[in-house]
Amino acid sequence: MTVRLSGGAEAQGLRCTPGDCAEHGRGQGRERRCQRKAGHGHCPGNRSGGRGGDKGGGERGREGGSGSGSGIGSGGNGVSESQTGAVVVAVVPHSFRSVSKYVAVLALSVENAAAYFADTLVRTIFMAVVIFVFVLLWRTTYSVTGHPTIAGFSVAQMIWYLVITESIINGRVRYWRKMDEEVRSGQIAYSLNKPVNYLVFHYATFLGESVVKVGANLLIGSAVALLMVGSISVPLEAAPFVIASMLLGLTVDYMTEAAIGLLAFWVEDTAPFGLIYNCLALILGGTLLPLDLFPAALRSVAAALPMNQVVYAPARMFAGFSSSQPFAILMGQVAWVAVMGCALSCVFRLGRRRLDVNGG
Amino acid sequence: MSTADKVDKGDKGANRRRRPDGVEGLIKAPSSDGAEPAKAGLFADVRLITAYARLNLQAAMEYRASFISQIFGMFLNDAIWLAFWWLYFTEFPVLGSWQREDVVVLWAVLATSFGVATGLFGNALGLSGIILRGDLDYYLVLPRDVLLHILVSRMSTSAWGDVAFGILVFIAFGGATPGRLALYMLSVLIVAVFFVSFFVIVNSLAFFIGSSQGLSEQLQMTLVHFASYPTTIFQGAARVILFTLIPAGFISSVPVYVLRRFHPGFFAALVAATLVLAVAARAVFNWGLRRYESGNLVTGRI
Amino acid sequence: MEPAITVKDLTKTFAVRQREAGLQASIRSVFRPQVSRVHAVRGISFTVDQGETVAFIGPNGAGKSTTIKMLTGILFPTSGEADVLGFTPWRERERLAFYIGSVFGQKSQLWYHLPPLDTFDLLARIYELDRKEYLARRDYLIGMFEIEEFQRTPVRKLSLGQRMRCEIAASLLHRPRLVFLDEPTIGLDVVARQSIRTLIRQVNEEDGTTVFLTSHDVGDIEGLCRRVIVINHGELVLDESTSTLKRSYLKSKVVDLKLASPVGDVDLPLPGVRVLKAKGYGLKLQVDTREQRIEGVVSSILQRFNVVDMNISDPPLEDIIAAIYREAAPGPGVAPASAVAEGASIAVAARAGSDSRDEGGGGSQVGGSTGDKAAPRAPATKRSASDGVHPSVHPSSDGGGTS
Repeated sequence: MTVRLSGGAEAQGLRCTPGDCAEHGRGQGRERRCQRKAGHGHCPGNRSGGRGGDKGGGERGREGGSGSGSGIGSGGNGVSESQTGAVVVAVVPHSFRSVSKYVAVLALSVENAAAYFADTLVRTIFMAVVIFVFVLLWRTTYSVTGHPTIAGFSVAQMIWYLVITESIINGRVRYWRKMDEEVRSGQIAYSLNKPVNYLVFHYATFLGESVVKVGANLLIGSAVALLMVGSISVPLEAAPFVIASMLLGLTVDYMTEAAIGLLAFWVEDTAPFGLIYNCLALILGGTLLPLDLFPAALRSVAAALPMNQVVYAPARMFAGFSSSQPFAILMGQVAWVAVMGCALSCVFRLGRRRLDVNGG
Repeated sequence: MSTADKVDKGDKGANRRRRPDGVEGLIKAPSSDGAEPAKAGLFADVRLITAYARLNLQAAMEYRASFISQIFGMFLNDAIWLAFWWLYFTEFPVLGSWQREDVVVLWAVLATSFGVATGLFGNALGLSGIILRGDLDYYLVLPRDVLLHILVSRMSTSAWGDVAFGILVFIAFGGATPGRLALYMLSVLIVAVFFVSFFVIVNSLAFFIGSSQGLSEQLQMTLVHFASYPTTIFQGAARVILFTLIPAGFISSVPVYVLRRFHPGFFAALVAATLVLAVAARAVFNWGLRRYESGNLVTGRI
Repeated sequence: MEPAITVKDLTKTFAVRQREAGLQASIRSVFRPQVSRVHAVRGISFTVDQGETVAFIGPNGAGKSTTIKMLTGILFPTSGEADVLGFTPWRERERLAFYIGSVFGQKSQLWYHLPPLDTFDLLARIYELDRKEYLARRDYLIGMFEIEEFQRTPVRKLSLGQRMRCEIAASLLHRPRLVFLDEPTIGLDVVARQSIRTLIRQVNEEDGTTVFLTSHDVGDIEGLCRRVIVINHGELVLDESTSTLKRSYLKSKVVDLKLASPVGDVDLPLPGVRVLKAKGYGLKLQVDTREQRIEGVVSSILQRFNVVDMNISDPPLEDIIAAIYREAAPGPGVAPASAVAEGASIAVAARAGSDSRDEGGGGSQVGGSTGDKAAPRAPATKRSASDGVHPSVHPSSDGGGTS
C-alpha cells in the first residue's frame, strides 16, 4: 500500500483519512497527513460521536415533542479518537479509500456507543419493562380467546415478535432530531464544504450507534422473553435474512427520519412530524401488533407506508420464518430503500438551495 | 482593620437578625422586626408559579406555528393511541371487570394529569440534566425555594395538547356530569402531583449517582407506561410491584375506583400515596442538595 | 459600617473520584474507588467594605469560582468562616439571596425569546418587590442604562452589548447591597466595555453597591476596581489597591517590531532593554520603564533599524499574575491538583515555570524586583511576615493554610 506524503512530513503512525479533515486533503485520492494531536477536534468523525440525539426511544406518545426534552444524548462526546478509523484506513487498499472513510465513521460510532455500554444497558431497563408488560397482556389475551394461536402466532412467537420490534423501535437513533438541529444551528452549511457525502456520512453515524443500541435491547429483551415464555424455533438459515432485514429496515428508518429532520429548512418545528412518524411506526409499523392481525383496510394503509419495513418486516421474518416469504420481504425493503433514498436526496437538494445559515 | 474581632461567630441562627446597613424598603419586609423579608409564603409561591406560567406561554407563543403544531401534534398522537387501544380491546376482550369506556377515561386522566405536570412543572423530567450540568447554581443564588423554582421555570408546550385531549375525551366519552367533571379535575390534580413527585425522586438520583440521566429517563417512562394499561392484566407479583416500586397502579385504578364508582377507601389511599411521594420528593431533593452544596458530587463537579 | 464581606480561613477541599474510561476501570472504581483530594481553596482571609469595588482575579483553576460559590452560599466550605452582609452564606442562603445580585458573563438570566421587560417583571416577582417601588426603580435603571429603545425587543435580537446592559440592569433591580460580576464584559467591543464600566461605577457611586468583580480583562480591573485581590492555587497572593498594583508591576513595556531586513545579531546596549525574540524579520524587546524611558528606546530603535511596523504594549495581565505567582509559589507539587480539579489547563502555571527557565532566572523583569520594598505585597506562605505586610492581609491567616 503506497502512501503519498506531502511536504516531506514524517509518517507518524496513525493518521485520519483525507475526507475527514476539512483542513487537509480535499477530494478523493489526495492524501495529506494531519498532525496527530490529541483530540483531533477538527475531524468530523470526532464530532459525530456521541450526539446521536437518542431520547431513550420508546416514545409512547408521552415523552414526545421537543417540549418535554429530558433525554440527553447517549454517552459522551467524541470519547475515543479515530483510532479504529485510522486502523481501518491503514489496512484497506487504495482503491476503496472512498468507502473506507464511511466505514471509519461507522466504526467510530460503534466504538463511541460501546464505550458507554453501561449507560446503554441502563437504558434498556425500559425494554425489559415493556416485554414484561406485553407478556402479561398477551397471556391474558390468549387465555381469553381460548386458542393456542392468533393469526398463526403462538404466545411465544408473539412475544418474540415483540422483542424484535421493540428492540428496533427503542434502539434506533431518532435521527430527525439530529438533522433538525443540524439545519437550525447552521451546522449543515459547514459540513457541506467537506468532501464527504453528507447523507452517507450521517447514515454511517446513525447505523453505528443504532446497531449497538438495538443489540443491547435484543440482549435484554431476549433474556426476559426466554425467562417468561421460553424460546421459539428459528431455523439457522434465517439468521442472515433476519440480519439483512433489520439492517435494511434501519436504513429505511434513517432515510425517513432524516428527511423529516431536513424539513426544518421550511418548517418552524419538525417535532410534530417526528412525533407522528414515531406514533405511526408504533402502530402502523406493526410494533405493537403484527400487521397480520390488522383488519384488511388498515393493512393496506400500512403497506403503503414505509414504517412497516422498519419493524414488521424483520420481526415477522424472525417470528415465523417458514411462513413468511423472506425473499419477498427483503425485496420489498430494498424497493423502499430506493424510494426513501430518492425522497431523502430530493429533500436534501431542495434544502441546500434554500440554505440559510443563521449567523450571529 | 483587623477582621479578627468582627469574625467572632458562634452559630448564627436566630441571633443574626441584623440587616445590612442601608437597605431600603424596596424589599418588602413583612416580618415584625422589619429586618428582612419573611420566607416567601404560600401565596408568594403561587404568584411565582403564575408568573412563570405566563412568561413561559409568552415565550412559547413567540413561535406561533411551532406552538400550535406541537400542541396539535401531541393531541393527534394521543388520539391515535386511544384509537388503537380501543380497537385492540374491542378485538380482544381481555378487560375483565373493565369496560372500554374505562380505558378511555384512563387515557383522559393520564393525558391531562401528565400534561398539567409537565406543563406547569416542565423541568421535572429534565431535572437530572440540570443537576449534572451544574445549572442548579443559578437557582441557588435566587431567594426562592430551589425545587419549586426549578420545576416551574420551564413549560412543555406539547403538554397542553395532552391536557386538551384529556379534557375533550372525558367530556365526549366519560359521561361528563358536573359532579363527574369535578371529580375528574380533582383526580387530575392529584395525579399530576403524583407524577411530579415521582419524577423529582427519580431525577434526584443525579445527586447521588453520576450520569444517571439514562436511569431517570427509564424509570419515568416505566411509570407512565405501566399506568397506561388496565390493572386487570396485572396479577400476583406484578400487581404488588404496581403498587409499590412502580406505583402506577394508583393512577391506573382511578377510572374504575374513583370515577366510575367512588371508593372512598381507594381515594384515601391515592391521596395518601401522593402525599408520601410528595414528602419523599422534597426530602430526597433536599438531601441531594446538601450533598451538592458540599461539593462532593460523584461527577466531581466543582 | 459593617464590612460587606468578611472571610476568615476559608478552606475548601474536594474529594474527587478518579475515573478512567472503559468498562473494566468503571467496575474497578465501584469496588475500590480512588479518591484524590483537591485543595481548591486554602484558608483565605480578606475583608471587603461596603461600597468597595474589588477585582477578584486569578488564573483558571485558582479557586476563584469556588470562593465565590462559598460566598454566595452555593457551596459549603470545609472549614473557615465567612460573613456576607451579616449572613453566613451557606447557612442562610435564601435570605442572603435577597440582598445580592449576580451577573455571569457566560450565562444569561434574560429570557431569550422575550423582551427584557418581561424578565424584569419576573425578577420583581422573584424578589417580592413592592410594585410601585419596583416600577420606579426599573424605569430609573432603564434610563440609566439607556435601554429604552430596545426594552420591548426580544433578547435574541439584541446585540451582545445591549444584552449585557440588560443583564446588569436586571441584577440591580432589587437594589442589592453587593453584586458579583463574573466576566461582565466578555466578548464585548471596546466601546461597549467602557460604557458598562462607567455604568457599574455609577451604580457603585450612587447606590453604594459593593462590587465584586471577576474578570480577565485588565481594562475592567483598571477602569472599575479600586482594589485587587489575586488568588492562585487556592491562596491569596496579593491584596492591593489597583494603583499600587499598577505602580509596582506595570513597570515594563513590550515593544514588538517588524523590520524591513532580517534582524541578524542584535546588539542594543541600552540599559533596561532585553531582547525577548530576534528572529527573521521580527524583533521583540522588553523595556524596563523604570530604567529607561520608552521614548529613548523607540528613537534609538528607529535610528538603528528600518522599522516596518511597531507595537508597544503592556505586558499581559497573565504575565503579571504569573510573575506574582512565581514569587509566591508554594511549591511545585501543588500545582497540578488544583488545576486539574477546576478543569483548567495548567498553561499559566506551566508558562510561569517555563518563563522562569527562559529568562534564566534573572529575577522577574515583569513585576516588582524582589528587592523593592516600596511595593508591599501579601506575604507568601513561605515568607516571613516581616516582609512589608500589607495591612489588610493577616500573616496569621495564611500560615500553614494548606490542609
